[in-house]
Amino acid sequence: MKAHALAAAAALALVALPARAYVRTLNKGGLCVFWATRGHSFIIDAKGTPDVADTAAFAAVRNSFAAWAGVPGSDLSFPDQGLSLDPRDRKIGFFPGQQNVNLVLWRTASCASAAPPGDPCIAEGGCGNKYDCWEHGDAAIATTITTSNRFTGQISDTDIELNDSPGSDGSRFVFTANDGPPCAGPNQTGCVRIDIQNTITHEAGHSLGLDHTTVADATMYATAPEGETSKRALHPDDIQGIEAIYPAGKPTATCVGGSITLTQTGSANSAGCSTASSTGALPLLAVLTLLGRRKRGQPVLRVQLRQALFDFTAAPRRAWRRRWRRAALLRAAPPTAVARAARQSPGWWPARGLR
Amino acid sequence: MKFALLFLVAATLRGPVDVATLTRASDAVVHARVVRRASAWGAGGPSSGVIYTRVTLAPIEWWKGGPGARGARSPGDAPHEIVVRVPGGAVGEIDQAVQGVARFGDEEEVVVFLRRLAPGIFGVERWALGKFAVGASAGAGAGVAGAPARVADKSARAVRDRTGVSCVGCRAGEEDDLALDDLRARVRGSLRR
Repeated sequence: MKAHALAAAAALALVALPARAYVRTLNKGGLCVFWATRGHSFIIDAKGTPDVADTAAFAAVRNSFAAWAGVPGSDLSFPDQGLSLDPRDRKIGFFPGQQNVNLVLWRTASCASAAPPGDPCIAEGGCGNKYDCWEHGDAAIATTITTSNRFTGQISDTDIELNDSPGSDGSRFVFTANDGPPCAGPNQTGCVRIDIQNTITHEAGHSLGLDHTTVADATMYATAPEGETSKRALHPDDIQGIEAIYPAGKPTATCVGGSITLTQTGSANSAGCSTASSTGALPLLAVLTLLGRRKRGQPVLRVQLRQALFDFTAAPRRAWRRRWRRAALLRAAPPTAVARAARQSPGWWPARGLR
Repeated sequence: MKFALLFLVAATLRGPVDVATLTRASDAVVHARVVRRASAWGAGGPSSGVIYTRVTLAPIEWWKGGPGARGARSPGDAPHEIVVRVPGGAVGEIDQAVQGVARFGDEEEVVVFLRRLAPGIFGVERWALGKFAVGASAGAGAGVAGAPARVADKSARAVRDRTGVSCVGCRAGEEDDLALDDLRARVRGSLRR
């Protein structure tokens, strides 16, 4: 009887621990990236892809964002700004001081042939926007560029670029927007090759701040066979991730990662996450343990916050001090307040010290 | 007030990315050490929209290409240094981190599968999947990925990091963690076939 009680208690304890595998994207400052708004608008370049004749490609893109908007425990929305008709707007990236839109576009020319020999963009980069061409190599199918604030992680722009250009051997990726089995041969029709919705749903997850997960069936899993369509529908792991970051009716969750590992849940996350509330006070430290001489890759400081245990790994002294200050600052105020303070009081924000 | 901004690039790539396929697709394969990194906007400055990082490598040994190969600064001579350009980086207040492209650490020892962009300037073939970090084996008491390493022993490992890369058509069991000698043998074996 006693053994049964112990087993039940152990099982309960296991159930009580959230088993999550989703991973949040960290910026270079060690902060998770997020939208301060719930979702973002998007615009599709009207040129689309020559692989799909009608508007099915555009519908596939819209369905991709709709999948994330449909997460029940979140309140994301993605206002559709329609089609971008001006060829001059076929530019990805972030342009300081200009109005930036969240663009989805296919590149149909390769920079290897579109950029004239000797152009500085070949050596320095930037041919993609200059010559409206794909400059990421033959093997890359799609990229998402997301712009965020380094000190808060707040995203301000995201663009998705797809490769419909001929490679060095003349072959191209073939995008499809229909249902069907995976294509078995080059001339087969009515089958699925690079499924647009499958690809964009995955890329849109990145644009929302999710990184690759370890769950093989999830949309945010890194590998996809050609002809796959299963990533069109979100997996519980994807849903859990988006509900954790953008919980309906609650503040967006921010987090500090990098040198901090949350060991209490035993999750695969590389970042310890917290919620930016209206008060946002840093919890009192219950236990703070110095673990002796610093050594690369080993914890040097163990901090227990109630039932959560954080290990701070070794880093150069300056970087380590910087991370600690940043963590304290970010937990002391919600991200919107941090951004506002940075705008209004440049002197208050210790930008020099955080770099 | 200037804001520092971060660019994240998530990439979907086409597989397979086994060593033989990578070797065939690359213009050169080099075992090298990172000398320095510098970031700048693309040609035309901020109006280019994207920042790139130029990683300077000092070759230790060329496994494909190399002396006299395309990209060498002087035909017939092995270049003392080559530059690898990857999207992302930091310029002043603006910071770019790139997900899906190869990441290089200071003084890191690497094996890189290279795609020639311009004389002396290369890209990494298949982004992060074309770069292996070289380090001592776990048993030797040191980490591998991202850590500066000075490896001359037989136990050196070459490890590939798939973080940030989504792969269509990658096969199970592709070589992500190999002995450095084994990786070299596979590259050279692929050249003979």
